[in-house]
Amino acid sequence: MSALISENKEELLLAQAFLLAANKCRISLRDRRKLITNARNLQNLIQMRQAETEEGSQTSLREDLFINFQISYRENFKQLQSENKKYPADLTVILCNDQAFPQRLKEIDSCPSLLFGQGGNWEILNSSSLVAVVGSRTPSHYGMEVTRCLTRDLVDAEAVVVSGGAVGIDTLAHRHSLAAEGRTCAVLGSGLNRPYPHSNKNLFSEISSKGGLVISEFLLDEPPKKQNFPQRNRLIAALVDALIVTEAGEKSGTLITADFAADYGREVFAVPGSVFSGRSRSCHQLIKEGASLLQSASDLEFILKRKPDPALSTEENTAGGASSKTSLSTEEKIVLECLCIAPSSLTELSRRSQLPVEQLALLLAHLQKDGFVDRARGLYTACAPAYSF
Amino acid sequence: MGAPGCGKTSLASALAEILPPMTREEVLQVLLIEQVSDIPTYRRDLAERPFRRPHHSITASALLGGGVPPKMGECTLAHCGVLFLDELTEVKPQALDALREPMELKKIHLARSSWRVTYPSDFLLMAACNPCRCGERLEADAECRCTEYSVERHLDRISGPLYDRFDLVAQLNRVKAPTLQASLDQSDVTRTISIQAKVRAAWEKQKERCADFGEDFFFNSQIPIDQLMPFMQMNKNCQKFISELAEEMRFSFRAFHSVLRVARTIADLRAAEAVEEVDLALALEYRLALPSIMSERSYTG
Repeated sequence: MSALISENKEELLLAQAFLLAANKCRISLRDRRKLITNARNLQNLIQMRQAETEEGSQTSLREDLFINFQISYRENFKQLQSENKKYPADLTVILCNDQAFPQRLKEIDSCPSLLFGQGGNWEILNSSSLVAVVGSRTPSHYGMEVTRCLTRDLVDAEAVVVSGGAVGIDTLAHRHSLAAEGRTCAVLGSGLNRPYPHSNKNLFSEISSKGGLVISEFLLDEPPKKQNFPQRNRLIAALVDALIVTEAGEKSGTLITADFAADYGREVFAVPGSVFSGRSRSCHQLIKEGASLLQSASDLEFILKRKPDPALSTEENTAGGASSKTSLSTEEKIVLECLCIAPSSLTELSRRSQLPVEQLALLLAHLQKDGFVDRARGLYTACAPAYSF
Repeated sequence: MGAPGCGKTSLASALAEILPPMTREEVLQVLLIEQVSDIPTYRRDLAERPFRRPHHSITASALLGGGVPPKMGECTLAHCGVLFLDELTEVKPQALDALREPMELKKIHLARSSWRVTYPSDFLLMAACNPCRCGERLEADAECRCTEYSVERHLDRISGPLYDRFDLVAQLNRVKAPTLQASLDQSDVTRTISIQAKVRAAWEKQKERCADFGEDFFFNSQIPIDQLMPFMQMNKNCQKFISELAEEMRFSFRAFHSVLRVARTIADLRAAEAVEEVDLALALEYRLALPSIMSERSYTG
């Protein structure tokens, strides 16, 4: 076991030295990939001469630049070795010439030369259906409900859910796929030794320990820089078959992801929201620009390996005890109707529904018990099953 | 808890007005405390309950008492009355957590190397705070600008055990324009008086009931747990209802009993003998879970 870790660690150091040297010598991503392909592994690259490269896969590097690069590579490697930093044992590296390297990534021009991963389960990125679920960092209750139902359905259809590990929709997508025992992949915009957002640290270790994967193309100790996130978004877009934006307000970063996805020929889906609230503005813009409107997971049928089980998804849509309760009283329907328009407090609800507070409190308690209503941020909010009544 | 300017502090000040006057014995105790501590009384008449409202920069020893020679703290000065902490999230966490023992014991044992004293401190703790730094988190039609992390840090100053001890957490939302206009038009004096009468009636009722049970306490909050159920007089449906909800909302032991006691009091306010589902539902309205403000929603759902 210890041998494995030390071997692993050397690989990590080599990979970091490679990235540092390549950054310093401003070597393009394309040439980086060629260097690795020619050398077959990072160990060889230290000693290799450029002349040894195969015919036809010649890099555009000048001889002197290559020598500079190699010097810098060796120096960096030595320095990293002498620093002897401690890294978690579950970190892995994958090179772009590896069999298990995500095939979908290879299709794009800006494919990274190597990826760091927390957890070694790289084959999930080559499974038959990968779907990205992304969205706002400050979702509304509606966005959260959509993400919950959708993620559950995707996991049921054996899709791997990819997201960015950020707070909000991303976190929910990961959490719900873990809860449904699905495998999920988080793509970070910072180094894996410095995961951002820090509050999701536990989430990331849970993902990697439950057969999922947390990946990043950045140096292990890279801080979360602003410019890293659009780069990260391109990875998300490239990794998947379809991108779903569940909720995104104005000027959302998910628009960048959607742009990349469209460039790479991936299907882009957006979930519509209310036209009165600004919370889904970016989703609506995407639909205007030609993204497909997503109503339920069955709209993804042509991408998914397995159909989402209709029995399961109806049960999901009338979650919990709600399925056993088929008829609601008139008052209950009035309450749900009011709540479907907007979440509200008890007094506000009483004003809108014209029902006395006492009666409302009782109705709400019952509805809460049956899973129709939830209290989020102190406001009563309709859950997914409420909309089907 | 609520947005800035929604009336938290005004509401708190109104509490002093609806509380019934003190009994003769209480008056004597409070007078004694005032004499000993040598603070001027701000009460309008002898039977009015003390209302203490220290600034949020208060230290633990100012709250509990201390010094040489020993002096009484705010929680003793609020004996038989109300201790109101405005901007609860700005009060030092150490000071806040020191309140837990006097709240439980109704008195405070202070001990230093040179002296030991026990002061009475049977007070009603009331506090107000914003749900987050920008204050808009609980509003339906305003955008909260806070990140989840900052909300967490904001509310972290109230420890879980302390928050759990609040029997009522009322969420205040901003009122809409028509209501604002109406508030200018009507005078509230008559309403205050009617509320006052209701509170006094409920108060008397509790005393009476406790006397019937042959106990020496007289508030619902003082009923021991093992005797709670006979006091409630709930029917089967009610019992089923509350136990189902308790499971759904994952109540702690203390929270569960607190809901029952609050429901009993709500029933008393409407002068009813038995606690009904409505009372329980209204009591639940006053349990606003901290995590539900901090993060978006329980993830296991």
